[in-house]
Amino acid sequence: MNTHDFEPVDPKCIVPIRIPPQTLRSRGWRQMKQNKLALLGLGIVVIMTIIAIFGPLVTSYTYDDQDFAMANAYPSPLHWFGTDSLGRDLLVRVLYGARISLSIGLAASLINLFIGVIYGGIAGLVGGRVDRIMMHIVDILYSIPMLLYVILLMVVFKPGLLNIYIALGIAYWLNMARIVRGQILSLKKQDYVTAARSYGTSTWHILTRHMIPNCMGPIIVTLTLSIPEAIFTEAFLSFIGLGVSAPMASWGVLTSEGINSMRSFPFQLIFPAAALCITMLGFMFLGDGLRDALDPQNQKEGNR
Amino acid sequence: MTLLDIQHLTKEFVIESDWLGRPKKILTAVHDVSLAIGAGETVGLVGESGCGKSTFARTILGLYKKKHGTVLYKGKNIDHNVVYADFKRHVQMIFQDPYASLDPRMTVADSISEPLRNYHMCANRQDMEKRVFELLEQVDLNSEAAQRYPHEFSGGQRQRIGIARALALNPECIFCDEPISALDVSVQVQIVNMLKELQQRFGLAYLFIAHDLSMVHHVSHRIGVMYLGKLVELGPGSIVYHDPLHPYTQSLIAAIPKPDPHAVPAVPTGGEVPSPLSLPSGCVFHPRCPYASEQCRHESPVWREVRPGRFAACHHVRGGDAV
Amino acid sequence: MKTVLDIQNLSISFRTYRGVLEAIHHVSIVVNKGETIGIVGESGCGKSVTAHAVMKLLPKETVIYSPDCKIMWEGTNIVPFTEQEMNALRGQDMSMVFQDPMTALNPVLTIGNQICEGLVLHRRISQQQAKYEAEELLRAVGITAPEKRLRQYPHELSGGMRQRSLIAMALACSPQLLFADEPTTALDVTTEAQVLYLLRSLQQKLGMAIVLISHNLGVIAQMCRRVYVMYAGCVVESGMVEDIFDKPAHPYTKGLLASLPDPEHKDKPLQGISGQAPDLFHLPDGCRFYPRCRQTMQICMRQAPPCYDVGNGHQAACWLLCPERGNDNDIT
Repeated sequence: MNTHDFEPVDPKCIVPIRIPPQTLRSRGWRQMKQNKLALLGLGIVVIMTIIAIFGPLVTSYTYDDQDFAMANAYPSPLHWFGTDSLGRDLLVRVLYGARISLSIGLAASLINLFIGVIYGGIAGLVGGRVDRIMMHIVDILYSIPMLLYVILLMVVFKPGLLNIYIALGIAYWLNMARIVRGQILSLKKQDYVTAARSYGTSTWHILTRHMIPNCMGPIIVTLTLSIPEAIFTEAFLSFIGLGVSAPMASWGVLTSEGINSMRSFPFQLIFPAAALCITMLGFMFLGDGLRDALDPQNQKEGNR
Repeated sequence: MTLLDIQHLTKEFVIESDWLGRPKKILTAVHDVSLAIGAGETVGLVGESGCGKSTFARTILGLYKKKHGTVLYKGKNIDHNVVYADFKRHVQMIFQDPYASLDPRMTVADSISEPLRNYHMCANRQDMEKRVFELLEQVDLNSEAAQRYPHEFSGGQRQRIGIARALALNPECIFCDEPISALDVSVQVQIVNMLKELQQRFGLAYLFIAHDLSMVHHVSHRIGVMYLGKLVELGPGSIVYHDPLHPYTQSLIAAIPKPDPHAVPAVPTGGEVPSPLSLPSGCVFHPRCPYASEQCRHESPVWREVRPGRFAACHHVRGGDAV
Repeated sequence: MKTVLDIQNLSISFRTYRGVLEAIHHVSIVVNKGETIGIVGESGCGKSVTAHAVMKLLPKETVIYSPDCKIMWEGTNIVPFTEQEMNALRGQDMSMVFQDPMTALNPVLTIGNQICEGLVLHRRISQQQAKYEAEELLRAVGITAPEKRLRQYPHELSGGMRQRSLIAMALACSPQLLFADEPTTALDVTTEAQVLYLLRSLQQKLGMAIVLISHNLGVIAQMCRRVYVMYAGCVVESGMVEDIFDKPAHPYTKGLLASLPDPEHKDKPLQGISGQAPDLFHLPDGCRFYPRCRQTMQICMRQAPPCYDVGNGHQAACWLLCPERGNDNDIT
């Protein structure tokens, strides 16, 4: 050490340490990358979507091409998944089933998003009597089983995919509305909402600019987890004959047909059932991973 | 000039109502509080938890609906819409929790410019940006901060952002609701110094609400002390601190742990703050007051000017005979 | 004076998703029997982590103790202790009072249940006997009508009473050492005065040592005999409380004291400390405090200072105290 070491430094010359900006997205994405199951789920969903959109365009058969000569054929290079009892190519039918299932999933999420989020948001924000009435309506609708709607709708309309869309429309946003309302109720007490009110932000803008973006975590997670539920519901309804019916190829219909020949031609059950399970698992892993990554607790970090 | 004149403000909350909706249990959070804030003046408001100081500020601003009382802004009653619009623009608030007072999903620029957008104060995007940079500079923050998110800043910096946001509308008065309680000691000093400097620069008035009496004393021109929803003492800052009239103020000052290892700690006041739902009869402080008498048990003391500029609500001011 | 706790060169790191974070660095603290020592510092300085590290309350999956550190409890190194061995120590020989009484108490168990839990576990007495002792404890901490309180739940008590119950729980087995982690920060100032008074009288009665952790210099001045000042994970100054307050040696301590409002000179602006606490992932080279220090020297930016002795057990880690600096020891 020499005397130079002890010379004072002008405080203005001290350069502060610059920390690179860290967006919320980068933090969540970093966490997702560490979650292998979630990435697997994402992969499954993406692959399924691509297959569902482009698959049937590429195959040489359509879903109702019957060929009695090839009925009940085992999987072969000609028919990768084999054929069913009427000689229809099972692979194509499973792909069409994917289209139906994923479109149901899309419809469910859109309904959830628009009706559920806005309904729950208004109920939570306005509060009081309006909130109570709105939630009582939700309770009533929730207590009626979905099956009942579908059966009632079957009486009015012919059985088919439309019924399922309408039934979803009535029942699927209820859970989301409840969750969003709960989130809004807790966010209402946050100081930034009070601050926004104090400098003149309108109630609608508070809802759309402040509250709903801050609920995106639970919204996305609920959305992602409601898709497999919707897919399964459609499969189940079609399985018991209340939804899509033959010759349309929903996974539920295929499974129902496959049950009949379970002992003799098990592949006719295995392929559609496996497709259904894998797709549902994919969405669930993705949803779990998103929930962990978007957990607002992780975002409370910061310097103090 | 008196900027804000609050007269006999009362705020009640209904805790329980019966099946018809009629109130059964009522919490009187603020009871008959009168206070005036002059232009460019800092009025400090102290009290312990549950005394109603926060509720008082929020009720004045209209965040809660008042039960009784009048608020005059520049001499005019804010119950009239025109006056209210003017009042709302020129009286702003900053909050205690720097982590909750900024929307975590909005950039700093968005948060600060929100009031500007609400009141259409900027003609176009460039003007808005310029104004945001100007405000950031007033609170000693780099313009680089504008595109960052709140979680990237420390508590003290977030509080500065909150102050920048409050300054956006060129207010005349800022209500500071415990602005430094959640901050480290060294950061508290930075914020307090900045608030004082802004007051000098822009002639701002402050209602400074806190529970740390020594800091309030440092910052305020006048100090008011609240207990269980009532204002028990009001007067010039140094005088209230060094020569308190009300026994509660005396016990507050005695209880502050002095940062002096040679000082002998005083014996603390007994008892605890009662629940605001079951207020004691007569003077609300009488169960804990060393000077309590029969009169204190039955009669609520009147708020009066004991000496010029000094108000208190106590039958036996300073333990001696009633003045 | 008998030493109950001797922390030697303790460094604690955590595995986080951003990498390994060193929360405290080479911390050495000595606690003697029956004395109150204070650890003072602002948020992020590591004072809480130190106390939790001694009691091994940090999450096992992510915490890393430095290999060369020792925590000597009455002569035995407890760093290699297993969970079972620590359980025998915790509650019995050393216990902790936490900051927020509302979250530190289990909301679904009565106060009586929670106090008796420790009693039954460590002293191996019957439930009946434990209830009797719990009542005595509540009375000792100044809670009125203790028989009634034993059956009440935390939400039925006020903040002050909850904190007293926490203290009763911590003292149930008459420990030798009590860690009080910001015990009064969440309380009103009049309740705070009562709780501090209670701690002082209990200490005199039971002869236990207290490690008081706080950011409030007033509380430290009132309660402690010796003080350790921490900044960014390191102990920057230590000594008798009078020396720290009357003759602070480290610029950070001086800055902290300059942040306190002076009731006699209201109009004098407060000096305080500029800048803010560093991000522990991006620490400066050399002395951790230099970016905020008004007396930075060239060497401060390169090398971390060692601890220098100022006399009477008063030490500070600052290059300003280096004897090689020459006669210019005028530290203003």
